[in-house]
Amino acid sequence: MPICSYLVTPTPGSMEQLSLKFHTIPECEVVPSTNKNLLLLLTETESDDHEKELQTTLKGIPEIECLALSFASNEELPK
Amino acid sequence: MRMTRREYMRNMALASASAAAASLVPGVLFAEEIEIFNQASVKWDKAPCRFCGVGCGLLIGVREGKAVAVKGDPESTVNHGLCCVKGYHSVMSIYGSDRLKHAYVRKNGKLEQVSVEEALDLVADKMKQTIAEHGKDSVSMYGSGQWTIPDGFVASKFMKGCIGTNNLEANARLCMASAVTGFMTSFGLDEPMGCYDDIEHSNVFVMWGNNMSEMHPVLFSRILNVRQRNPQAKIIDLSTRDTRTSKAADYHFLFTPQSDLAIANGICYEIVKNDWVNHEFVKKHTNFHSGKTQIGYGLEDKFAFTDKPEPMSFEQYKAFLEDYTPEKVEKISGVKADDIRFLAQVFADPKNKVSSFWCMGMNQHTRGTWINNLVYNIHLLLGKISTPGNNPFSLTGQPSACGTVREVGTLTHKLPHGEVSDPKAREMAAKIWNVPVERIDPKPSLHTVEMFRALDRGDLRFMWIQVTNPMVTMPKLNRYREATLKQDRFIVVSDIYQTPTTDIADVILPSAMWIEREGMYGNSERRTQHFNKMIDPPGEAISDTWQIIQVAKRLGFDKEFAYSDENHIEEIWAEYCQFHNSPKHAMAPYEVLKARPGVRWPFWNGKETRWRYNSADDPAAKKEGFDFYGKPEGRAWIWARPYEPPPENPDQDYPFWLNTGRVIEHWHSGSMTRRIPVLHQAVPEAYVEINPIDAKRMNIQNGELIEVTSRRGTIQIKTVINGRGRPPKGQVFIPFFDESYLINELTLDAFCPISKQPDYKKCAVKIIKIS
Ligand code: SF4
Repeated sequence: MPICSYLVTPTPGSMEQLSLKFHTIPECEVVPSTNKNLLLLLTETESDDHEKELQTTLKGIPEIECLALSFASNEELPK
Repeated sequence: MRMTRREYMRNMALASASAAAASLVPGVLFAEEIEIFNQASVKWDKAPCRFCGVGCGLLIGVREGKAVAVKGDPESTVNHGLCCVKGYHSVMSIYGSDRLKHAYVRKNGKLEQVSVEEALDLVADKMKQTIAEHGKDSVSMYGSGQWTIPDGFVASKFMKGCIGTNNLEANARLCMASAVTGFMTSFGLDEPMGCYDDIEHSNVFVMWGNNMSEMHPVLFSRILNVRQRNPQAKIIDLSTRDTRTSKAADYHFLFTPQSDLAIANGICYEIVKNDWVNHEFVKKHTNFHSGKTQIGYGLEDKFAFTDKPEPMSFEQYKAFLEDYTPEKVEKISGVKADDIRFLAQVFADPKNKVSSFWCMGMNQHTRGTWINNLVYNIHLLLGKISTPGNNPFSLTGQPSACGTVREVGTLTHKLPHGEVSDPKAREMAAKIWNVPVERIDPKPSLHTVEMFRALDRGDLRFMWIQVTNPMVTMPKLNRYREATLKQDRFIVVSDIYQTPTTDIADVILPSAMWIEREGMYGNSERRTQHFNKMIDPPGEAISDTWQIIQVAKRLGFDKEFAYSDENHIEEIWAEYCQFHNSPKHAMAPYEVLKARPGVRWPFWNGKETRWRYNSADDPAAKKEGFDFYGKPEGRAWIWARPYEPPPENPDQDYPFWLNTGRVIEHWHSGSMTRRIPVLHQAVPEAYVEINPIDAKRMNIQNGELIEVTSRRGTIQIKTVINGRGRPPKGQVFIPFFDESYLINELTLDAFCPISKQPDYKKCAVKIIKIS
């Protein structure tokens, strides 16, 4: 049950377009910044395979200039 | 509706990204309010960070009885709203799915759940029985620099004032003892003269074996800010390994392990030779001493050492320094003679305000006291001390190594004020604690390494361990683990998670953690920070303070521990403050601590002190200019301390140095941070860093499993080549946060004979390619 959050930098001028694109992906929730070229992205998937699929989708989005992972949990802990 | 764990994780994920954005892009605003930060139902309260000795101020968001968010406290002058990755995720360490919620007792070799009351009865009975059979000095307590101040205070009162034994130690012996003896021998009083405000006043920052960018990241970011604003500001890194700090530094000098002693003397040689000495300051405020040499390494049981200071003249000191010409130092340290001259020039340049920083590199050192003295010498010779921007600064690793272990004095030789050997200190303690003075033993007993040796020998039969994980962190671990498992040894462990230390316990007590109880920590800059109880502890967990009080009462010390359930922290604080009721060390009253994000002592006439010994700022300094009032005549001591080699050097059989330490993501033995998903996933396991030239010569690939062996143990571990750190040729580095790779089975239990602090930074190992 992976949950991740990212800082996303859109390519110049594509902030709005990228926000709209994330809204069409059911696993994504997005919070855009009002004063900087930056978005917060929260993703939730059902399984590791599902997560891999989402990663492939994200990699294919041309408006993403930089995707920096901030948080990741799939509850796989050492104990 | 109560929040599910999944909702909690979602909130933390968003809070984490938002906090990261705020620290990377100052002033960033978001279209929607980040739900968790703005909900009216979230109540915010201040607390110091649970993790390192920087002591960042945090604001903790609590909703429905659960800590759900963290942000940096903008009111705290430590961090001005910033945190590192551990701080931002700190509350998640509370909610590991395997928190200890109940007590356990070992019956027929198996741990069985019992009520906390039953476990406390057993602890008290066992203590009573052990004392009756083997005497009061057969029982001991081993705590931590993560103890809150009240935890340490009641531990000291219980062991020293009630049981009457000095068998009380804390893991700060493993990280801070050399800093203490360094301060005591040079200044007569513990803890830094300066404070973090020095950073913004300095323009030269010298890191003495201190990977500050990972170990004290928020302070390092303050230094980077200074450099960004002032292009003349310089960071100088002196280290035995290439680290993130080295990469950020303007100058980086790699030296051979242990040779910092020679480097510091070499700098002093140049200062004296070029007559850069601040003669007026030296004449008025210092004098010179030498001590014993060839002082040993404490490798044998019952090792004893007492130094013998002898006064010396400036001319004699000058003659002593003749052994440390830059050329001679180059031979010992590998640092070029011209670089030694350069370092001396940088220190001495009147335009420069210089801060020296260090932590484990200088303290975990078989000559730890000496190297502390030698760095003070540089600052004293130049008069660059106790003034804004000019200070030597010994950083701490744990959140309350200073507040609890050093100030309350939870070490064998200490009392909350002064030492057990001092009749006046014993009288004061007896009066405040309301116990007979004869009960306080005037002789210090066992320091940490010797305590575990005594357990092995059978001199000790009972040990109560709180908030620390010695079965990961003791050097030469195999011997001391076997000691705990011997027949007739009884081990009690208070903790919040199962660890290798709870694995060897006879009784496990579940502890309330950090904001699950009220308490105070004291950070590196003499700052005491109070935090409220914000949430309930899980199950039957109770605070370490209350555990000790309950056992003390069961042993008949009701009168001494007649604190109330509701206000015991406030009552303990009031009692503790009586020990420090003077301009030298007065603590802030409870209400002041509650209201502010920390107060630096001495707190006198409503004012905190930033620069001790400086008559302009320190209420206890009475002489003109400076007054080092901890020493006779108010003079600090400049020490002639030579270079002496470490006890174990690489040789034909064990040709590599082994260095151990931490990484930014993990706190100490990892029992908390490895349960924080994002930190665990960032660095899921320990590894061995190896120099690429050594790797190539031995045909070792990145990520390959290799065997690392010392004379004491062996582990198999994966390599990292050119990772975040890079050891020089002939050295390997292994972090100690991962209980699956017990690197301390390899380390040596040699220690500084004065401080008794072990050296985790250097021993000899060999490495073998497995396949
Ligand atoms: S620097 Fe230390 S005190 Fe500050 S947030 Fe990080 S771990 Fe906590």
